[in-house]
Amino acid sequence: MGAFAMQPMPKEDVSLVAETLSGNQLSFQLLVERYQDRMFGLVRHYTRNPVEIEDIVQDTFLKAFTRLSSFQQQSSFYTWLCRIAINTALDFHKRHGRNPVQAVEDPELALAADRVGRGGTQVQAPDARLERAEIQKITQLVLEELPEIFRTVLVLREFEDMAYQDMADVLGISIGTVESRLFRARARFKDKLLQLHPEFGEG
Amino acid sequence: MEFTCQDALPLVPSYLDGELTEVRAGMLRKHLLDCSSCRNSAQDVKVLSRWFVAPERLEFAPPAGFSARVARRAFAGDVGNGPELEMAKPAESGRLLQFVLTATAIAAAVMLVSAIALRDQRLPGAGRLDAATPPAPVQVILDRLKELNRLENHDQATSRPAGEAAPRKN
Repeated sequence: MGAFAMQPMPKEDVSLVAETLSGNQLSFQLLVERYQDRMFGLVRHYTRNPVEIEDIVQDTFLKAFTRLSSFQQQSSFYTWLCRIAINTALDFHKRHGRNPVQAVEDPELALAADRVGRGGTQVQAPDARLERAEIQKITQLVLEELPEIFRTVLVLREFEDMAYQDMADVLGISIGTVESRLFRARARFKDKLLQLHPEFGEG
Repeated sequence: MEFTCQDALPLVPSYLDGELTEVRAGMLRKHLLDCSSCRNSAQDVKVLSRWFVAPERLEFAPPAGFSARVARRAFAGDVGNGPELEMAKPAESGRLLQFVLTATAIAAAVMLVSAIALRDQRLPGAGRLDAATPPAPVQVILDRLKELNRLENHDQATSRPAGEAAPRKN
């Protein structure tokens, strides 16, 4: 089970949500303050435009506020926010005619990913001489090339360090689907990384 | 029961993510000890994860006063859709988009009117279903048939040789 799902919701979050619902604006401001950095960090994987990031994060919190009474405390407030943020980011792209690359989890795709995952060229660890920022830039570009469903699971797992159960909650899918999607996503990431940067391959 | 490579390989990432139950993790560990191919795959996943490094500091941090502004807007009844508001701002690309949308709307309206006009010309309306001359009533047709029969009988009578009996009338 996931780290977020297993732990009881932090007292402060529960209190702040309750106080917000009873009309305390400052409590909601504190909630925003607590999670705004993580939301900006999450949304940057969906757009690199700073204005768009700010708009999407703001929209996320405004939507969260309007739905606060429906918030079920079975999951963490952060997991719940992530779900809203990802949907808001994807809606934003749709409204701007920028549909992210879609992928259907069909058997063909699974087989292709499986072939990649099983062998072929091994990927090297990032060169020690590469600056942290350089690694991030390469990874970001590779992620942007991936279908949205694969990018999202990688972001939630690798950057947000989310447990499978929380990812399942955020994405509204089963843990089994999280597992298989993550497996394919890693294979696709490796494939795309080697395609864009063959110099990082070995063997 | 022991794992085969086919069983083990899909579980490797979950194992490294710490998501396997202790029983399954134990079985996989045992397989990895015996199988160099799966061990290499596990190593590959480990290496791949080193590409995902969190930034030391946020590239795009929230601006000062962000939380206060969002809270104020929320309590003022703003329900979101900030990006849509952003689109409504006058901008070069926005004006171009507006022009394209307007032109498309006008073209669609013209096509709709033309289609309706053409349909009116080709399909008969309710008023056009009337024939030029109204159909004759049944009685008139029967009278006309009787007249034709009478004329025919008359023609046959006049052309029949003398002494031949006239055919019986039905």
